[in-house]
Amino acid sequence: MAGTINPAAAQRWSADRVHALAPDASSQRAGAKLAAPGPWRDCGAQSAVGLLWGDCKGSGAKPYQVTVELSADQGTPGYACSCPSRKFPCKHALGLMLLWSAGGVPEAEEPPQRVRDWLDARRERAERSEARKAAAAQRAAREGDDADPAAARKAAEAAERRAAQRIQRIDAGLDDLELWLCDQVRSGLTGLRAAGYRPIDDLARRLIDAQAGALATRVRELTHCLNSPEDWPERTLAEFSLLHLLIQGWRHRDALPAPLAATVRRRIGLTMAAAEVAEVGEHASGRWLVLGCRDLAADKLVERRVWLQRETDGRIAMLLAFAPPGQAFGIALPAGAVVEAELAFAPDAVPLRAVLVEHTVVEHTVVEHTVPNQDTKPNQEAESGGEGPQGGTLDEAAAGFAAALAADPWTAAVPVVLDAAVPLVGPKPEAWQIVDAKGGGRVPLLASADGADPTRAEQLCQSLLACGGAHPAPLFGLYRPAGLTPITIWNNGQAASLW
Amino acid sequence: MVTDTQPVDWAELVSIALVGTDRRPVPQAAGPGSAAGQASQDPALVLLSQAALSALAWRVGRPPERFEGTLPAPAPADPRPPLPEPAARRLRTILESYPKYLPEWLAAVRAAGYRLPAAFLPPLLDLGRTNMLIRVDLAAVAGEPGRWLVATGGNWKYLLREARSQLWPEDWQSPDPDDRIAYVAGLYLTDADAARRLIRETWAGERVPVKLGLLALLSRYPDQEDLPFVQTLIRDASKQVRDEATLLAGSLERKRDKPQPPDFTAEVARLLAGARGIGRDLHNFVMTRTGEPWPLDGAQLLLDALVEHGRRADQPAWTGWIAEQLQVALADNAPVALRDRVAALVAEQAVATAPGGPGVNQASRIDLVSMLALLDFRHDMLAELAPPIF
Repeated sequence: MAGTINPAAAQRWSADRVHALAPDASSQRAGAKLAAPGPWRDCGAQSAVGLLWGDCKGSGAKPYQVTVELSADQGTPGYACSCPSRKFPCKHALGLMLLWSAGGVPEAEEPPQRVRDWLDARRERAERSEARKAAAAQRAAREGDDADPAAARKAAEAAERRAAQRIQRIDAGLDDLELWLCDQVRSGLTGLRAAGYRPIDDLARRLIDAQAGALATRVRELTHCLNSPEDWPERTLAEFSLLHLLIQGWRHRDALPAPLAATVRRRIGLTMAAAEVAEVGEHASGRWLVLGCRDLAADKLVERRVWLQRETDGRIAMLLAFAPPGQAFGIALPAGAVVEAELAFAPDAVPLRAVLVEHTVVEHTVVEHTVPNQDTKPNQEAESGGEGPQGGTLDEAAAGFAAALAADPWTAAVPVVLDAAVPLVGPKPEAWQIVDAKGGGRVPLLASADGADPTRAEQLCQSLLACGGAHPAPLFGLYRPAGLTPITIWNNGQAASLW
Repeated sequence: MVTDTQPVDWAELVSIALVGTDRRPVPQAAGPGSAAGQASQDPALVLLSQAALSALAWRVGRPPERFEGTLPAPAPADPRPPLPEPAARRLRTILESYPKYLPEWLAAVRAAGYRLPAAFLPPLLDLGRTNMLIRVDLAAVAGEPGRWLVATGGNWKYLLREARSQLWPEDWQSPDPDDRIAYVAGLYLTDADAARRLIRETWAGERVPVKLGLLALLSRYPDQEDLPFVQTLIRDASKQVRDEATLLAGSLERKRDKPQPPDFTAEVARLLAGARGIGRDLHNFVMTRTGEPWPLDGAQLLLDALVEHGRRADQPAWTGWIAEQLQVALADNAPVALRDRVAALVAEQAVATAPGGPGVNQASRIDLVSMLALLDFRHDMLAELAPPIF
């Protein structure tokens, strides 16, 4: 068993990759709990096609019947479980996948009848939806050609009317915003600070009614500026001026260069749909290293950000996915994985946001049981031959931020990779620093962005110290002049996610 | 629009915004063509436009400060082989769902001589803060990188008072109380008598923090022979030392006066015979012995009694709760070798309940399947940690 790779093991997903499918941390925990052979009966797997099944003993008399299909490379995984959970995938499916990832599910020749039935139904559904799509496309093509030009014109007119209506609403919302900003500046920011949450919340609601969602979020974040203990006047006025600039940008959008106009539209709340990005965006393909992943719980959706770096030129892209709490994300890419992918970058003054056009995860071979050789020296067992990210210095990060700010004045932070970062311990989490052992700079460690949990900050500092061992190591994080928020650290070519 | 204008001083703009443009005038920005446009405009808008320009310089910030001084010493290398992948995954499961098996797991890792993935150190050290039982094994498994982490920036100073991987005589000479205590803790593991002698010989010259640490070691490894010595400490100059010594002396005296705990197997057999099966006394006795390994023959006796209990339908209802408790205690404390016997019983049960078998009413009311699951978990957990082959 020493160091052998069996073919089924090579096709199995890593535990990290399975964990990335979990809709939230509590499912992750519950799944890990079920990843022991105890509760499972009649399990089987066909790793080559990514099919798993098994019965999980639950609290009831009847075991839950679980089926998972991880379509080999792309496509959405399918899960079925007879449990009543509304999470997707549920803990039983996660537990089964983890058990499989650990080699605890035997390979089987033939799935049981219920699995075959489910697969057939799934195929049929997929085919039906394909057929519907094709029919719709055909109909659209036909309509474009000849049939009923009047109806087509009518539909186009309606769409145009809706778009014009939205523009009108945004215009009105921005007029209100400008009036509000001027009122505050006229009577003084001190008064706004004393007034508390209420006026800001009212304004944000008004902007949501005006269909300017991103702008509303931005306005809500004014409370962080006003509550910041030291430099709240500076931060608040700076944010006011950015809102003012956004209003100006929107009113003069036709005169702006196209990428900047796209940025203004996005920052107001008019985001481009993924399909449109894939169509009009700049395409870039190659092997990409997953730099890191962070989930942010927003209002009613959890937002997942995944950063990728292209191996050939170090270019960084950010993928965005949204899911309601408890539901699966479309992308599951753990830090340190490598993907062969074609991306399309959304038009932007500083192109960063991208969508996956197509991708395959190129995973490092799963080795059954690594038994080190005698001559393996500590801290050297992984030759990081091109596995770590390509980084720079803190000074380069600062220059990169300035350049981004020049192109997009609303930039808050830029993703950066440092080549040789060392955490410098402070008496409390706010006093920690990141030292650039190569370039000689240092910046505060921003353990938590505005309003984050302070106990989390301490955990972050400690795992940064433990995982990096204070060796100068590659570090990925978000840079802003106030400091660096670490997301992933590499040690001996191994990525350790800090979130 | 802001064009061609010289930015107005940022600090001045901020102070105007604070009190409001109604109370303080906005300065005109110098620059071609700007004054005429601004004169007719709302002063608040002029301020916002000027702020947009000046804020940019403020937001760019200063370049990162230079780091003068020396970098902290990095973590020392750990020559031990890394923990195998499956065991690292299992640790995650144990931390999330089966913390009761952590002591057994840590002891097995220590025996096998693996090094932990660094990311697990902080959560484990957090557990050690409240769980004294795992400290000795945790200190050994965390090793020198663990000590480095604690000394560099953690809140887990207790680890520094635990035995190091090796006995370092210079620790005993160190002025740091933690080093001295760690040395004696290490000596306890290799030669407990030498450790006791050392404590007695040097006691008079020690400072209070060291004395407290040594007292903690004396109560961790209680020995009746320490009693006369501990009784002399009740008159120590420090109140803290007096209090701790009084507690320890009391507990040693109670242990002296109490009879030796009975042999597990013999006591289980006696109680089973007395109550003709499972009863309250057996339950009370067994529960005092959880958290220590049981002999296989005693565990067998208990298992057989449980199975017998499950077969009989005429048991009073209250014994069901006791049987459940005993069943979990058995799965947690019995030697893993009991697993095969339980597996055989589960197979038997499957035959009994199968259609055409002897009948459902013959089936045990004891949940053998979940017992087997726990034993399987422990079995796999220990199997993954078989020492590396060189």
